[in-house]
Amino acid sequence: MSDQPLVLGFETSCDETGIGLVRGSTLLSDALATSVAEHERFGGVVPEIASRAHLEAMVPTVHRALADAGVTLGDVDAVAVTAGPGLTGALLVGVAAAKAYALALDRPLYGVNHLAAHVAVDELEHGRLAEPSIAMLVSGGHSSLLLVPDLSQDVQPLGQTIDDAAGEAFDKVARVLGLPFPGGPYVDRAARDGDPASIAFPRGLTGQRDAPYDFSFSGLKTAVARWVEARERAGEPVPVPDVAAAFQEAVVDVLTAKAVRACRDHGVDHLVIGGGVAANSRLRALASERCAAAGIVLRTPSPRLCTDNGAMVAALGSRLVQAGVAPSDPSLGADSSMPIDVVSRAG
Amino acid sequence: MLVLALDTATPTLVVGLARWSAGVPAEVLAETAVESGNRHAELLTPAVRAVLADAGVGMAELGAVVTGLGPGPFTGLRVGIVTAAALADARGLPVVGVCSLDAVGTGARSVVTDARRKEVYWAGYDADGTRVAGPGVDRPEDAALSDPVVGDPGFAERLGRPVQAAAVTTAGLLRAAGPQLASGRPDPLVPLYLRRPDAVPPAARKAVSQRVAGQ
Amino acid sequence: MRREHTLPTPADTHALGVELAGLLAAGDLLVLSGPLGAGKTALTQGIGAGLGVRGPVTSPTFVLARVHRDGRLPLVHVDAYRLGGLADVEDLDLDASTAESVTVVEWGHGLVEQLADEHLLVELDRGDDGEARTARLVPHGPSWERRLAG
Repeated sequence: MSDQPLVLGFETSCDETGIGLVRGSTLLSDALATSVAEHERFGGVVPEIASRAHLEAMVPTVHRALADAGVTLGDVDAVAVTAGPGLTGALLVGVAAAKAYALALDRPLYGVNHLAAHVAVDELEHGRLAEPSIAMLVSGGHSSLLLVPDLSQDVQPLGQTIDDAAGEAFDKVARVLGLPFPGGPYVDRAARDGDPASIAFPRGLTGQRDAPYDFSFSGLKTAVARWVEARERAGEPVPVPDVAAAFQEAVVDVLTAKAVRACRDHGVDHLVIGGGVAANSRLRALASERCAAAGIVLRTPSPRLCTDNGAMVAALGSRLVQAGVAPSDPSLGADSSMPIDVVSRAG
Repeated sequence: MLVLALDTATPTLVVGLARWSAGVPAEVLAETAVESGNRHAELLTPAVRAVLADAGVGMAELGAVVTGLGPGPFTGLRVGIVTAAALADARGLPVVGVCSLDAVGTGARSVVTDARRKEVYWAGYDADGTRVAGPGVDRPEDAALSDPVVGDPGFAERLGRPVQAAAVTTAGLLRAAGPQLASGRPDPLVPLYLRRPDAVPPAARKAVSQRVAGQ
Repeated sequence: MRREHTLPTPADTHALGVELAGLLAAGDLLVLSGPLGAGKTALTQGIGAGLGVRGPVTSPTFVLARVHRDGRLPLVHVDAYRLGGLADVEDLDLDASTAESVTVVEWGHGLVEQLADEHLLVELDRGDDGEARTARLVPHGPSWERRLAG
């Protein structure tokens, strides 16, 4: 086992300071410091607060990850860091730290794509990804369908949201319903007591002539806001569980239908779903139902690894080392809009 | 002892290598100042590499790391502090933080640097070079300055007095770090933000759709 | 250019954005206000199309600011919903690019006007149902008064 590379991964694209250690495709540790409690009262992530928290947490979190894994910095073979996409100020703390560790340890540095890392993390639990696979990434900032012929260097975008991301729709609807931030888990919980068929919310971009792999959740968000406002104006109580269930059903119905269609159209029988929204219980249930019916093998990381963490970055870094991909240049920076087809910043 | 010093509190990142011993001025062996604007994260580690190569010194020969703690624009400032913290951590070295303004100019002076939003970061020093006022962040006309004023000459007109151009230097960083280097027990690195994050929790509201931005 | 606009469909909101793009110069600041679903992103998509920028203009809520290049002018698209104040705008390092770009800020009313000496406020609104939206252009500064009058 020890001939496999030990990779130290840094993730600071949003409000989680994640440091992970991976050897080959074995997860050794996954230390996390979060500033979510500080953001909760703002109903969203405040970038400056997140960046300050990353700086404070950085060195202690690295040491927690090392201690949990039972290794020292000297054992590390390579360093990987999320170079984007994400919040610029937050990304820069991780990028600067990772560059300094790589320089001081004289180890190669890999600036990697946050989204590809969300796919790579599944290999820690379910082994090597079948290639090609279809990957669906759903989070607060992203909703993308990808064709993945080779996770280390060939990821092809099939479609993405044309307005709001799925997780963003969850956050905004949670606000409308007076639920806390981040909205995903609260909407999921509220929906368990609701009837998904009680309100017919629109399914965006599902017409015959619409782009088959693109998503739109802006109209859905507006429809929910209007429905709730109309209730409030009429002085009637808002049935939060029913609204949550009907909204959630509209989101996961579209996501799973399009993911299955992407598999079918491309003759691919493996689907992996990653990103924070992949922790949603209804999405997992409906996806496994529809994949089973279509003869597609579904892989989803356990909910703990779906949200942002350092292990996913280390997992992708390990994949890059093993594939012989060139490390990043010492002048690596952060790219808040890093395109999905750039798996890592090489050369 | 060989000390690596760096600062990213201003648009010009500074990296230097110096030989330091207690009680005498540090001998600067190599130094670079890069007009990097908001590209500190890209350019800082290459500058460290270049300075070490220039001085012919390996990472393993370093005895301590010194970093400016600001005040300065937050995003760039953090790049320097986290870089110093990580370099020191990886090599098992002490890391010393100093007020970046202390490293600008010498002797009795006031120092002003650009705080954006038409404000200045400022501090005042006596003839021994000891900081006696600030650091603060204010509109230029509200800062408690006394001549000579050094730092960012762009503020001369606003201040109605000459501002002699001066910037953070390796010698200045080492001078400011002297007491902590000598004690061998440096203080924890605490950035000098001076401004709190302005974020205020949104007032309770009925529905998000009625939110008035700027609350 | 008219100050008040009725926008029956999203395509009309988009078209207003394209028309506005024709008036824009480097350093301009546009502040968009209006409730959830009033068409702020749709208007910005029109502005992006009018400027000829590359790539899809989607909600910048997650990254807070996105820069779209390769058009007549770079378009900086900001969602200020989560920005508590100017310290956060500074954290995005936007100051560096506002002079060369067009900056469009959603939810920026009362928050980011100091980024530029003048700005155009676009007040968007929607009715209780249907697709119709309204837009009102409110100039702040002499150059915007002139441009809208012209």
